[in-house]
Amino acid sequence: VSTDLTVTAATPRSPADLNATLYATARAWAADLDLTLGPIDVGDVFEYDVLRIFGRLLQQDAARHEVIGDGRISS
Amino acid sequence: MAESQVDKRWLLLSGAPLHQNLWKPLSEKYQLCFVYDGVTEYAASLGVTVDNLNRYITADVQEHALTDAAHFVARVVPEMPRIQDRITGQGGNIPPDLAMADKWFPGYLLQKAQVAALMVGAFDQFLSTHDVAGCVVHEDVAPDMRMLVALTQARGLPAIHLPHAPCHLRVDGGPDIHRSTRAEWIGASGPRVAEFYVENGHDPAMIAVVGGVQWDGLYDSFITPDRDEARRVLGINDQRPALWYGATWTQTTGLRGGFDAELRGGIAKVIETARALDAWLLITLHPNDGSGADEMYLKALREANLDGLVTRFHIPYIAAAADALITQGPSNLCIDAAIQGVPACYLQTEGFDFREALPYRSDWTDLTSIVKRTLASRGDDAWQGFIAAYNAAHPDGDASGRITEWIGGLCR
Repeated sequence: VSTDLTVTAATPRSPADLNATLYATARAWAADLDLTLGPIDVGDVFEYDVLRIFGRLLQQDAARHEVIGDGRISS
Repeated sequence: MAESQVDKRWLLLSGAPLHQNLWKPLSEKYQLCFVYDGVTEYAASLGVTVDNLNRYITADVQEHALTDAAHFVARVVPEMPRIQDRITGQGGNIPPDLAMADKWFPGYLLQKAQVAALMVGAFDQFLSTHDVAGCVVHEDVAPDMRMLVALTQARGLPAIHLPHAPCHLRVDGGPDIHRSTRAEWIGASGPRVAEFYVENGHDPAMIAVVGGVQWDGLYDSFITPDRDEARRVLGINDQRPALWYGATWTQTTGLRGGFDAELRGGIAKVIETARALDAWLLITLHPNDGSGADEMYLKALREANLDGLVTRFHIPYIAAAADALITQGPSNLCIDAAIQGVPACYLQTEGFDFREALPYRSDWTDLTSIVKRTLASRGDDAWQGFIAAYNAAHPDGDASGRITEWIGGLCR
């Protein structure tokens, strides 16, 4: 049961919103930083790992706030 | 006269056992080097000698790689306030751990960068002493495979992606890393897989429909058990139908569906159906599921007092014994099952579907009636069309030969 429903309820989420947030945050970290390691683009190569760890954090948070498919949130 | 080993050029492969049917025919044209460690002995047991990229991590390579990784993270650390702002500026509810990424992200990147730099060093070392013709990967989203593709293409060599699983993402399924591929060439298992990549922007001229090598073994009657043997081995000691439930796993590169509640709801629906049909229930775990879900499924099976089992292995026996397959979401297992004559259906999930009318699909309100339709469709010719849409090598099962010939044309 979430203890901070007043915060989360102000910004209703759906699973689709969560996925969009995941991709936006995971891509944000490397944007325009021009990070390379030898000939490889690090932002591109680490995309999968960053998605997995950011996704896990977002999923755990969503589970705490029980995301419902139609955008409502309940405890 | 047979070409000697030393005359052959080298091909870098991921080394995923999913591609094992390719190893032997490819080894007749190329010398092979795997990226994955620990598969060398298995390949040898199949009569294929391979090298491994990790052998090229010399002391010198290691020293330089670790230094490169340190320099890389040193560039990231001063950028962390800006990175942090970008992350929190994306809207939505950012969880606390993500909102203070500066406290852990550089350390996380250091670990990743060390592994990446070692691979870059090993690759360079390998290329300096070997005549490489190209690389073949079974996926190119994970860092090691994406690096292999990037490094290979940076040298002007062809990189070939043979997607190991058809992607069932719908057009309206939102952003997903699996929509794109970095390899210039794609060997699609079937026309529907090619369609997926074209729809997501890949040049159709760089895609060949070649069949799925991972299914070749399913066409070999010598290594697949018959129904009576399978049911005897699995302890199915009466003639009641056997339902096979293919469970799924959580991969957080996408956040869709109802997470754990959906997984728990799925098994509950399947149990309800098995009970209604007085069926055995054979539950198989996803090969990548390390969550300990087997205990959850076993407990559910026991509490329902149903006859059945839970396993991660013995899939050929399960397939031979089963009368119908139910999967959680549109699983590739539906194709495996259909090749073995087992009709399939699935519980729908957000964002994914097969691109054919088959397998049958349930919106969760009607699973029992959908399973009855599925059972009744056993032997229906329509299943042949479904299989061919995803495996162009059907019904011969000779994808390895087709793919080897195609690769031979690209990696000369």
